[in-house]
Parts: sequence; C-alpha cells; structure tokens
Amino acid sequence: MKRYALVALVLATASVVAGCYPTTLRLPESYVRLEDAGSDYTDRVVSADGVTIGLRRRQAAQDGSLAFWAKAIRNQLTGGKGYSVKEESDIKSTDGEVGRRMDFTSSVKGNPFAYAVAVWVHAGQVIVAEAGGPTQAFAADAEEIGQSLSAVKVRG
Amino acid sequence: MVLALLPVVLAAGCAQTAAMGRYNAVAQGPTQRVRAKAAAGAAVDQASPPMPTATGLVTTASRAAAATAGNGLGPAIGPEAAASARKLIRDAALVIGVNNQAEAIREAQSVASGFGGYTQEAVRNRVILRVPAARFDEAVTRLGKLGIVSDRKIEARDVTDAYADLALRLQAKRATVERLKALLERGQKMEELLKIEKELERLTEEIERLEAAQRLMGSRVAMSTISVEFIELVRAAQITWRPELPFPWLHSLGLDVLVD
Repeated sequence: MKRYALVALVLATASVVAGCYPTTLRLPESYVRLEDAGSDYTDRVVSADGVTIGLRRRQAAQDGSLAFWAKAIRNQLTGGKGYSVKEESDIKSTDGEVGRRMDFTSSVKGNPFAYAVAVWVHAGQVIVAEAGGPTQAFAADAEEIGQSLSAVKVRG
Repeated sequence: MVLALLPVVLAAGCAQTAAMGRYNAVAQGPTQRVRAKAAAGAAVDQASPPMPTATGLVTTASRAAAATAGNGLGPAIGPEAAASARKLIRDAALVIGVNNQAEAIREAQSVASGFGGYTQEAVRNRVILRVPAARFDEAVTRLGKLGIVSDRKIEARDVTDAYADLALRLQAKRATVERLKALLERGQKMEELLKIEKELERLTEEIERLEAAQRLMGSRVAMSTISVEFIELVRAAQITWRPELPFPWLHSLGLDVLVD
C-alpha cells in the first residue's frame, strides 16, 4: 500500500512539474495559434503565408548534452531527410538558457522551403522549437521567427 | 486693250477685299472685335495647344478616338496605329530554383545583354535586368528556362494618359514662360519685373522636374525591368547508412510534420 502511494505521489509530482514547464510560443503579429497543435507539439502557430512555428518538449536521456542532441537532430535532418545546413549558431532562450539554432534549406513538391530548429537541454528535458515555410515567406518573417524562437521559456 | 484693263481689274479686286475686311470687322460683335484686337496687339493670346480643363480633359484616349474618326483634332490614323501609340511599363519578378546560383546569375546577365539590355543591379542571389520592351516576353521566357520557376509575377501599367498629361503640362508651362519673357521685355515697373522674374524661376524649376519625370517614364517604357531571385535547389540526398537512435520523436522533426 505504501509502495503504491509512493508511486502515485511520484507520478503526481512529475505531472505537476511537467505542467509547470511553459508549453506555448510567443505569438508573432499576423500569426494565429492552432487550437489543436497535434500530437507532436505542445504549441503551433501559423501565418497566412504558410510559415509554421512549433514547440515540443521531450524527456531526454539523463546524460544527453546540448551537443549530443544538436548533432542527433542535425544528422536526422541531413541524413534522413536530405536537408542542407545553411547556418548554425548559439541561441539564448528568454530565461537565459543557451541552446543551438540550425537553419536548413529544403524543398516541398519542388518549391524551395526554409527550416530552422532551435534546441535546448534542461533538467532532463529536450526543448525543440521549429520554424518552417516557403523560402520567400520565411525570409519576410525572419525577424518575427527569430524573436519567437528566442522567446521560448526553457526553465519551469 | 486687255493688258490695259488688267491693272484696273486687279486694283478693283484689291479694293473689294479691303472692303470685305472692313465689312467683316463691322459684322463682328463688340466682344469679337476686342478679341481680335487683343490677338493682333498683345502676346497673351497666342495660338496655344488645347489645355486640360475641368469640362473637357484632352486625353490621348479621346485624342486617339478623335483621330481615328478624323474630326479635326489631328490627322486621321487607323486603330492599329492608335493602339501601338500606347505607352506601357512592363515589369516582371521571377523566383527560380537552380543548382548553382552564381552560374545562374551569370547566365541571366548574358540573356539580358543578348537581348540588347543590361544589368541594373546584381546583389547576392538577385539580379535586376533591363531589356528593351520589344524583347520583354522573349527575355522572360528565356530566363524561365534557367531553372525551376517557383514564382512569377508580370505587371503591365498603361501610362499613355499620364505621359500625354506630362507633355501637355510641359507645353503649357513653356508657353507661359515665353509669355512672361515677352512681358519682361516690355519694360514694367520694378515691382512687376521682380514678380515676373520670381514666377519665371518657379516655372523653370517645375519644367525641369516635369522633364525629369518624363525622361524617367520614357526610360521605363522603353526598357522593361525583370527582377530575378535565384534559390539553390537541394539535391536529393544519396541513401547512405545513418545511425538510427532510439528516440522516435526525432523522426517527427521536419517540414512534413511541422507544416502538415
């Protein structure tokens, strides 16, 4: 009985703690928030030109560092999906956590697309924010996208 | 006998003409006589081109229509000639996916010069080309063959009326300048002279501005502008072995899920 009570307490605490972590994105001007972000995201916002920004949080392997996850993501996108790395830089979340931002070029049905992913690691969680859309529309919203990615809150 | 009578006949004809002239002057009402006097005496009422008025704006459209009807506004011309007198500014903006941006830019510049045009600007992955208006369609088609066109915008603006208005305004202002110069030469009071000179200076500046606007418009009509942005295409990745990490969520990263 005591054991079950302890397990229940741990689960309850975990869910409370998880619920305390921010799960939403800063909404850029001229974007709307999707009511249903989908099963992969905690939040997704989209512009009328088809540029989408999404946020997700995942439990990570305890020893996984930022370098590990950044490389894992880069390998997945370049090797698995054929994306080309355009540039890479450090990015700071709004609460001061240093992460990694990677920008890629790709195409969807023959149309040039831009894709950016920012990743942070904190307290055993991997926080990933993605932004993608047609290259021209993405470039037009570059500043807004950058602000949205930098506005991610990593710590609880 | 006939030769003797000839001068008499001629003299009689001249007298009759003079008499007719006097008759005409008498037959005109007082207002018409004043106008005739003003036209004869002053430099104000010179024959001037039709000026735009609130009630009867002289537009090229109406002028062209009138011209085809031949109602006296100009020599009668056919409808085809009237249509070809239209002034169009044609612009195009293309976004083209290519394998090599630098090479594509060089080719685009070569296309422009091949059509008798030139490169107005070349910055990073974008070029702005000017080509003769007559070769615009050919140039756009040729540039489209440099890669995969993902966006194309073609605009044509009819500036025939605007150009004609500019010409009319210039003509009117130049005529006013001539009239003011004539007044200057007459010798007026110092105060009047200063006013006329100031007005002349203002009109000269306006004429220069209008001439510049006319030149710019003419240039844009004669040479169309084509802006091309080149985007490098991503080559399909070769299938190679890659590590499959036991984190399924990694596979859900990317555009296909994000923009779904």
